[in-house]
Amino acid sequence: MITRRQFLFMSAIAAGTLALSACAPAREIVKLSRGESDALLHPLPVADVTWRALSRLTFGPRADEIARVGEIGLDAWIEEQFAPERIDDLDCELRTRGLDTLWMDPDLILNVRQDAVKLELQQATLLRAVYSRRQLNEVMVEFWSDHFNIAQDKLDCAWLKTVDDRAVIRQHALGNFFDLLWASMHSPAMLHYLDNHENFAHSPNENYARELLELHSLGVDAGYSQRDVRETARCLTGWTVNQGWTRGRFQFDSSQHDETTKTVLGVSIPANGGEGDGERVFEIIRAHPALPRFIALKLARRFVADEPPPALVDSAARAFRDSQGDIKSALRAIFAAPEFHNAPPKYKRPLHLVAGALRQLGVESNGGAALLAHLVRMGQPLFQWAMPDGFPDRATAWQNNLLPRWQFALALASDEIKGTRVNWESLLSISGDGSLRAALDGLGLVLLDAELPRDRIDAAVARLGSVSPDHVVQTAIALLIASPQYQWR
Amino acid sequence: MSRRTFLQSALAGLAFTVLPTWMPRLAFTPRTAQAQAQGDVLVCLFLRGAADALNIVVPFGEADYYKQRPTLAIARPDDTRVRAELRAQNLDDFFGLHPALASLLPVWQARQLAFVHACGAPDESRSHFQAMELMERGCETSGGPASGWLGRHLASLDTGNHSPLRALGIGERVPRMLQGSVPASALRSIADFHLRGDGVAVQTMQNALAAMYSADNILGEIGDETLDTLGLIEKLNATDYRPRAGATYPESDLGMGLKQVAALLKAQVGLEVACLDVGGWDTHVVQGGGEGNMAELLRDVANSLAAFYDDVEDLSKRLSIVVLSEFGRRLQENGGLGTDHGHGSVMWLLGGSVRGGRVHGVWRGLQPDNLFEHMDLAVTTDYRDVLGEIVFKRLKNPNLADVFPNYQVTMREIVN
Repeated sequence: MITRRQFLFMSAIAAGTLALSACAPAREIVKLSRGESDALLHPLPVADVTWRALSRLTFGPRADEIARVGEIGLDAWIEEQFAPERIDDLDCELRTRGLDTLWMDPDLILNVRQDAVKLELQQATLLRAVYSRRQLNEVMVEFWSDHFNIAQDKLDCAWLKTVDDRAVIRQHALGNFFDLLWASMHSPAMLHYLDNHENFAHSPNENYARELLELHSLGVDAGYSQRDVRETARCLTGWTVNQGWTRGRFQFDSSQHDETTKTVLGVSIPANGGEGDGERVFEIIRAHPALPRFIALKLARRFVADEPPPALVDSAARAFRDSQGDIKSALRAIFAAPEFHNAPPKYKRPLHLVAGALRQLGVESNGGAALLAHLVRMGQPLFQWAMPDGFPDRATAWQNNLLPRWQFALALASDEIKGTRVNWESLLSISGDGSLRAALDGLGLVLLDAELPRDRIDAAVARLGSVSPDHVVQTAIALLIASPQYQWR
Repeated sequence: MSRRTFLQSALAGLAFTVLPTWMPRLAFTPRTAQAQAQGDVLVCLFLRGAADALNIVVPFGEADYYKQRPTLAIARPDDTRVRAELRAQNLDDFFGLHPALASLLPVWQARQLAFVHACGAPDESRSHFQAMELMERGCETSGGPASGWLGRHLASLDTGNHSPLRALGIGERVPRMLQGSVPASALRSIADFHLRGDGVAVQTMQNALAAMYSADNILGEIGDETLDTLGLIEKLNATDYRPRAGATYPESDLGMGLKQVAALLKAQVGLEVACLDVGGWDTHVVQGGGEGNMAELLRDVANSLAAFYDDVEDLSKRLSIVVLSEFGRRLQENGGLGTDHGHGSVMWLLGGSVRGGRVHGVWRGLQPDNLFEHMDLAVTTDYRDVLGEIVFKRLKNPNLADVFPNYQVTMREIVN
């Protein structure tokens, strides 16, 4: 059975409009380039393969992205996304401009009320996932926020995670992994979160050292021992957070550093190395053969499949190693692989579901507490995952909690989420002749890749009976977002 | 009979019953009197983050305990230098209970609370994530089934119970241990388990969703399950639930979670297994002793469990409660007034059939030569022996080879 998308695609070819087949008619492109919102909703013919790729490279493909891919091709679009600083993002910047704490330095932010700081970062994250045109960057920010997970509930992380998000995660999301790791090792939020500010010469605290090896760089199977964890912790004694005038900043406290000799993963580190001991650890990690594959596996899991094909992981690991940790190189290897383009569906995590619905339907939202509460119920309270492994990336961790997704679909469609409003007028324009069937078809094109199974749509429409004209679009949106098909990307 | 038709008939029967209580007692006929006699309801609490076993069931008879924990140790029951409410509560003249667990002492005295000390898994990684994964799968290595041991228990035992609430994860997700071929739902709160809107519209939407989800390859089963649960919970006047007089639940996630479990148990909706997670146990810093961070966590667990146990007292004969954690913590405290990752742990068991009022397990002592790698409490009882014994004797499932593949369960005579 061909999908409707393929059908549209093929009819475009048949009509001799191949040049425009995967993009909008010219007048739509003009509107898109002006950022006119109703054009963002224009259902465009698009090849399945493009849709599938965009579903993973963004939080949910929108018409402007589909049109741009049609215009310049997927590879070139990816390269555009790889240079986020060159993508105009004024709309998103305006939406987050009022969130003052995002730009504050540690000494300033530590004076702001904790709840406000936590909420603003959560809000900004959701707003950017929805409205930023630097979508791949946002997808990677989410990825690294899990990889270097920090929960706002721990000590000063309520404030310092905001700094980490800006200076560590966003700074290096598409840069070099080792710059990212280095920045994270010096991140006051991370040092608080994993207790390294309590790692003293006379009695080391292993928490950060263990997760640095296990979760941030090498993986649990890399062959290090408890002794290596212990020695790594000793190397990092005195790596702490300043409490004085420049409080909230990284500080090496030599009085707390263990200056005796150490051996980490077979490499001996001479006495009196001071702050350099931690740098030696960094170099040992950087050279370790387990690292490229560990990072490549996690990237492939995010972009391809819960259990990604080993050959793909290998090639991404090779690209990572050959480029000395260039994140874009590893991603290029993944995005170029046929396994990426033919990948089986991935179950959407809650942020993807919520942000995707909002961006695909052109919903206006402040990303505030009422919307964030839906993420909480679905199991992804932003920056609140207590354990350092980050939110899970496998379907099995999410699949048994369907009801909150249905609740979100209904709440969104009923305009019941405070601070979030559906733009009904623009949706009406793509909802056809006013029948529920037509609305499901029209809105389905905006939201979904494959056509919904006919028999099940028929049954659903039959059970819904006569829906009053005022509720047709609402009902269609609720049903589509709650549908089994929309839970996958 | 499919679960759906079964459910419809069960609910249809309700209309003709006079129901004096807050909640209709649904006649879950397939769980017949005979089936009910079969197995206990299991409530499983997982303390995530490696709870410090040595400060939960305190070996106050060990000099090394006090030597290695100058600031964190819980004072002996007879240590008059310390306020009485901060001292260990004497259990058997060698072990004592953390004082924040005092509300569980009545259950101990009633011999319905037992501990298995120096209990745990063979995994030596000291990694939370590897240890939790292996423990939830009930496996020793990354090989073997991906499902959880509880999921396999449910799948390997046909109790004739088709309730959508047979297995529940309380909270936003179903823990790995429940994953398997029997669908299990996550539920945070009975009161919130509904779709908002006016009755007819909601029912219509549910019908439409049923059409969308029916026969969906992957989500069909959980979709059905969710709809069935909605239908079932709609019949329960859950916001009116009143615990038994005297049972006061803390307003914590755990307290509220156990209250939901109690409500469902009393409503006889076919609940067989409920899993709850409690986080915050990774106490690398400022763990505290008789008071402080960990004490507050323990107080919440104890008060929640005590309230629950009180609330469901009538059902305690067919109830087994298990509390476990992925591993224990280092004997020697660190410089941050906390403890690092260790090895051996402690399991807690509550229930009418527990051989309670005693600390089970082999205790080798805390002298360096008796410790695992000279640092940590050694494991002398495999956690699968304890769980296996419960699965076999209390849940009446003889298929231990399915539940714990490649492991020979040894009965430790911990439950009757």
